Amino acid sequence: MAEANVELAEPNAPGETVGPMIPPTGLAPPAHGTWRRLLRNPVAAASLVVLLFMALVALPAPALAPYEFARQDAGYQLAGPSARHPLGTDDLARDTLSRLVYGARISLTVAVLVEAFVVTVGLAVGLIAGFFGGLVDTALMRVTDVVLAFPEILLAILLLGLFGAASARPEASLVLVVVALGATGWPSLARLVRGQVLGLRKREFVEAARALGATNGRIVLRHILPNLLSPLLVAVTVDAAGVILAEATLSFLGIGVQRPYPSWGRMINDALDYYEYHPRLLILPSLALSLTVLALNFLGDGLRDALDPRARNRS
Amino acid sequence: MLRFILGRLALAVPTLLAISFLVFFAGYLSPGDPVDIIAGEKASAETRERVRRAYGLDRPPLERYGNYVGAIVLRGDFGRSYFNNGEPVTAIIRRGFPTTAALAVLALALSLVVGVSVGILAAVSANRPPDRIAMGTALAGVAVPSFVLGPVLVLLFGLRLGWLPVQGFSLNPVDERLYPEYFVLPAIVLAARSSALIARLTRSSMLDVLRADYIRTARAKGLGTGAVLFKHALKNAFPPILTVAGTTFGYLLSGSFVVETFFTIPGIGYQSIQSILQRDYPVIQGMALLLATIFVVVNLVVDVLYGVLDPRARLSGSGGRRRAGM
Repeated sequence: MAEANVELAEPNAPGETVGPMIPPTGLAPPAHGTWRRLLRNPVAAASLVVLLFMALVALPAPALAPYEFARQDAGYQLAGPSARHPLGTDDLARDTLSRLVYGARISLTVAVLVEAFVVTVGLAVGLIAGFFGGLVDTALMRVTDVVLAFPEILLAILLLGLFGAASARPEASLVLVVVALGATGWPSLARLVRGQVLGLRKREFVEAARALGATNGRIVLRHILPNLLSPLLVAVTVDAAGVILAEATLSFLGIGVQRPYPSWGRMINDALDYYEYHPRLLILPSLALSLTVLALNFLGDGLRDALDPRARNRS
Repeated sequence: MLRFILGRLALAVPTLLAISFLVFFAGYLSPGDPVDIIAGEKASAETRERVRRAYGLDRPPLERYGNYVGAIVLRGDFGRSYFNNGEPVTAIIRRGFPTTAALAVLALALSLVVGVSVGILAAVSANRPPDRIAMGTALAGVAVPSFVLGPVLVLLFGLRLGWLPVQGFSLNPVDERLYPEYFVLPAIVLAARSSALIARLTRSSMLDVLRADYIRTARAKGLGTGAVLFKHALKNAFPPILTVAGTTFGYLLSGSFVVETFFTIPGIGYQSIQSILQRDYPVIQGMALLLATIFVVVNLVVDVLYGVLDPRARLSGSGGRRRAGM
């Protein structure tokens, strides 16, 4: 990421502990004090609150939402906010609050599933390429290079087009979106992991473990993986923001999550015919989307700083 | 230098072949029978058979792939649309491409001008209010997607103030004149995100350079701020910005899918989405190949330009530097 967070050298707050062992290749394993440093950063703490709120709303959505997301309340088309519909209704008389709540569920589900996919594949490919090197490395990196040459969203659009996602059932469309975003997302993580592994592989503690007779498997599991945790955590957080944005974009275009599922992107598209007189229909899902994306970006920045306090003053 | 360019070219060909293979078989394996899409599910067996033969759908897949690639290489023929009476895909592309390219180039110029100047301004005033405001705005530019920014700007400048047209496209089909006002909002919406990214990158790149010794020397020998900034600093801060301009072009092309759809501008982005919604596979495949080719060429050009600007890159080969700014 093009990071522009250049802070002028400011001394660490008194009493702040600097991580004991920070590899020059990147971030230290999450250690004691990370959490405290994270929460002391007001922007990161606020982002965490926003995301926790989204998650707490999304998980019990069926119990929490006043209406089912596709339920039409006859006679209440495009109704303004009222006791019956706290945030009003859309053109099909569906409760906006309920749809926003279910929309959070869709966004977070897609983000979690895609990141699970990306981490699994990216970690496997990156570890194999970085640890074994040679021809395997060259071949794997050639593939990631090709995929990386294209904007993820464009690849996802074309994949979904070729899969025929626009005519899929809603549940199937959700799966297709996850597959498309996962398939286009893993190469950048694989690159990151590979780079880290290349650095870690040459470190003294790995050499020492090898000298003591540790097997490759043990070295990867006990010595490499724990050191990958921090950069992975940061990368996954920031990437999740991109995934949520991408899902909304695809759904906006009509080739992502299909009706009647209330993806925020779809809600924004559905609002286009009415927003001149009912801007609420456009603004509410947009706010939910932008807030979530911003919070994830800020949390990622905050995590990076909290995991590596020494790097804070680096450009 | 020639060797460097030829090496890059040699890589581009297998890449494109692999992409054409993927594009073709993704379409082939996608659910549903293309004949249903072309002739409709209720068509008679005879009609279906005729359609199947006319589109070559009765041949084995590998042969069809061979024919597909062969026709493209030999005749520049990307097949025919399943709709519009079987209009050739190339005709559809030729119709939409100039619009999309014009919009993308306009947005690229806009985001370079805005991004680089805002980035320099921010770097010069690092951590003071102008910098904070610029970077705050840039962050919003990254977090607010174009399909939100578009409606908001249209609501404001199109519907409420009535200064600019709400949708449509500037080359009027009736009098074939160019109406530039139609391009204003789409270009701004399309450029917003990349301006923000370029501004952030320019700022950090400039800050890195401004700390260098030769900048201090230039200042010490009495050069004015302008000369230091533009002659010394920007020149060295520029290669990473150029790299991103290359990737930006890619984002602008994909961004045009959303912007063209929202403003109903008949470029290739709009056309692709229509084809996807109709499941018009030959058009989707043609668009995918066209976009892939554009990307490979743009990356090639950026690589070569980078090699010219920064001779070190020529020696180290690809060495992962291209993504340095990402």
